[in-house]
Amino acid sequence: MKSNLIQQTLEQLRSQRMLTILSIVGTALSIFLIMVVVMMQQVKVVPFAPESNRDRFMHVRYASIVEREQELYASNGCMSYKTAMEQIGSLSTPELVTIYTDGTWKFSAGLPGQPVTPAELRNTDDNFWKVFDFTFISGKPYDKADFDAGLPVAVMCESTARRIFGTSDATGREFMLNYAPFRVCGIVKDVSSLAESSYAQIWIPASASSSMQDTWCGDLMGNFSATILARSTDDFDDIREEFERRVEDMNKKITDTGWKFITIGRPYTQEKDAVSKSSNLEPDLEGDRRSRMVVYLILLIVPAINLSGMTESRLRKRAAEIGVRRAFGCTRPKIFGQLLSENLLITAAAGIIGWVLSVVFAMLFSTELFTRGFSYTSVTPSIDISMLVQPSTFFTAIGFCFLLNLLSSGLPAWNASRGNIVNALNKKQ
Amino acid sequence: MNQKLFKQIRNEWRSNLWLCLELLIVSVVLWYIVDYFYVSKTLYSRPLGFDVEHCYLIHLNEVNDKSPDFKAYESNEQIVADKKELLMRLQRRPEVEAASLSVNAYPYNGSNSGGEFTLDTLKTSGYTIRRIISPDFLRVFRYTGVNDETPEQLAEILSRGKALVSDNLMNYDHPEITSMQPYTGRRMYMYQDSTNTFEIGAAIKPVLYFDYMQGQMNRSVVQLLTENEYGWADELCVRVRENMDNDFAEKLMADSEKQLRVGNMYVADVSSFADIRDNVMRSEHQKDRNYITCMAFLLVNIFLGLLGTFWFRTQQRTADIAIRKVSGASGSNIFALLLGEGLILLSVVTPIALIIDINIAHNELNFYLAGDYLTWPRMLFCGLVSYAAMAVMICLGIAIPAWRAMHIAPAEALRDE
Repeated sequence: MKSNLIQQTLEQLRSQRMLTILSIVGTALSIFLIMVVVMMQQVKVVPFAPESNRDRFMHVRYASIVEREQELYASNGCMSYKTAMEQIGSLSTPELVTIYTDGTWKFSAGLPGQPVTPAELRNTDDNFWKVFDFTFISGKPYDKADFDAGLPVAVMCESTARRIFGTSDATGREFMLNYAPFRVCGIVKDVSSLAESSYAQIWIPASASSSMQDTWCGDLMGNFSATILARSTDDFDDIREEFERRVEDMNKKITDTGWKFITIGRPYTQEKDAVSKSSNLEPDLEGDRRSRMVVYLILLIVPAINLSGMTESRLRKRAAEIGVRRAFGCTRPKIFGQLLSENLLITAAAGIIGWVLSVVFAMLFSTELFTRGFSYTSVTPSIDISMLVQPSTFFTAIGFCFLLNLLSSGLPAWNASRGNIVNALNKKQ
Repeated sequence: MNQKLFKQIRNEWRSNLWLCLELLIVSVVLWYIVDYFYVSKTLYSRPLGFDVEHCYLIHLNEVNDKSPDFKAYESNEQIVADKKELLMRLQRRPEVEAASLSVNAYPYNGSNSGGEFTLDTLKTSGYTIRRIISPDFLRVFRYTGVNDETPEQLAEILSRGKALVSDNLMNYDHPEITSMQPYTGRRMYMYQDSTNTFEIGAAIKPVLYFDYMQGQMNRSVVQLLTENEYGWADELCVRVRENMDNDFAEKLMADSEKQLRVGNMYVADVSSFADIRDNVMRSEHQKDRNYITCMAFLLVNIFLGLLGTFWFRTQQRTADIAIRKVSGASGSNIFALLLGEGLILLSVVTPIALIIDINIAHNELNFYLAGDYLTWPRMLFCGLVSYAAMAVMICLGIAIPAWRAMHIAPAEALRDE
């Protein structure tokens, strides 16, 4: 039966060359474009090393403070380390919390007595290495003892080590960072700048620089962001509640500063954080999802109507054949099922072409497609095929194919299978 | 001819209905996209109020406090002296035309400060931008006055402690005040703090927050960064002489170790404002590209859809076309008949699409431009452009099967009869 179906389908395709080509091109184009849109979104939320736990992340990238009495003025941005510790570091519900400087900033790095080069630096705590899963080529990250002691040690990415030392085998060696001697404690594989929370070229304990003392607004604001690793997504609501309580507690303690914190829905999940546009507004996740849905709908419906017209034309030519079958006792559901699966074969084949094209396209034009809206880093994001070919994207593609098939051939197949036998055999419509 | 056309359309009503539905959806989406480009091109063509060509941002850093080079400052005067020294060394470089210090002021800035300004009973909204700058900032970014005051003249006014306000400062909240010029010499204050007033020295041409920005953030007040405050000003910007602007960043970085290490400060990096601008505008350009892709996709779909439908139709109607030819219709008659069918469908759909478009604009679901979502000239223009684009695709799609139909040999086609 199955080989029969394939044979029949192939025969059909051959007899209607033009319509077949148009159907395949239309379907492939539609799936191609939908998948590019899906990937552009996926890259922001899908887990990949060193952010493999994105599903369980919650971010407090920024904090917002307002003038206490009348909310006359406000300040929005990163927090001081102290604020981050008090509001997020003290949470008991999450598995782990890491506090680090937001974005990267260029500092000079080089061997003592030799010309320096700018390197992108991030200040972190020791939990950073547990929340984010970096691949260490050699050495190990700094731990709590190192952090508490403010030890001048650094983790460096492979390519930067090569730039500074001429070799990636640099663990244990000394270099000058920001004109102070540092020792390399570990070398990690390069990280794509799409891993927004963890990307850098050099990471050091925040306590080994002045980043923790650089604060403003009465010690409340500063250079730091925090990422929470929840035990499971079920804990998200509890974490939000606990965070609210911590912020309330802190607000009671800081009356003398004239400021108070407002949470505007923080902490945000990875998906919500990804649509964040500015530090003073809550990201409109619902709105973003809605407009994405509209885009998918348009990309599906228009080709579906097109394809449906073509399927209808193809089936009209076969009215006599369907009539004969019906006359010999084939049931309507059977005919409907067969027509639908015939079309599914075409859609699936074209869908695979579209999907493969979208992956190739995404790899070729990764810089244009995936570069973030605004960033201080000048490094273009590196795209790994494993980021794009995820089970979730593959199943999304199949899902869209199925939907497209149902939309485009459901009605014509239904009509064809319902047709009057006598009329069909007389070639009347 | 017309009767034939309508009969033909009626006979194929079912597949025509599908075509109409497709054309309707595409027409509405296309109008939406054309409307987007109309708005973005209008915004993009406005004067910026500043000039970033040949300008560079110098990223300053301080050495680590554990560094042997670290200098523990004892007073603000020492910090100010070091900042002034660094600024002077930069200004002395032959290729540098001007160098300035500022706070949340340079164009395409991720950070901003601002608030509510009050002048007598007039108040601005809280999103009014405040830029705090050293006078040379005006020369770096070439701000100009409403009376064509040069950057140098404005710098002189600013250095006397007077503020510069953008000519449009009040007209967002008070549309009747179209210019701030009559208010020069008057005093205003910020944050309801009426004890701390400053004098308006001149009105300057509006400075956009960035190229596509609309609304309050294009209104600004520029105030003097006094030397005492140099310590907390972390923005160092320079303008390079036009004829000497080659490899400035590389040359400066090469010299920085020897010439630009003052106190704890060093130059960590230099970026051109052209790059900063690209970076900030990237999301807008990505949006443009996405809309263009979507538009192309829809147009290709119309092309494919009409190609498919009419291919099939002309195949079905071979005999019918042949008879027409036998009874005297020329090839171009047949061609026009088929093309006419497509264009009539589009023309039937367009008024319905326009009604939907107007509803979308009425509900403010399209794009905001200068206080409006719906103006008739804009609606008409965007409607026409989308109609024309679709008409072209329809003609292209039908032309291929119609061409084939034109060349049907009657004797061949009618052999069966």
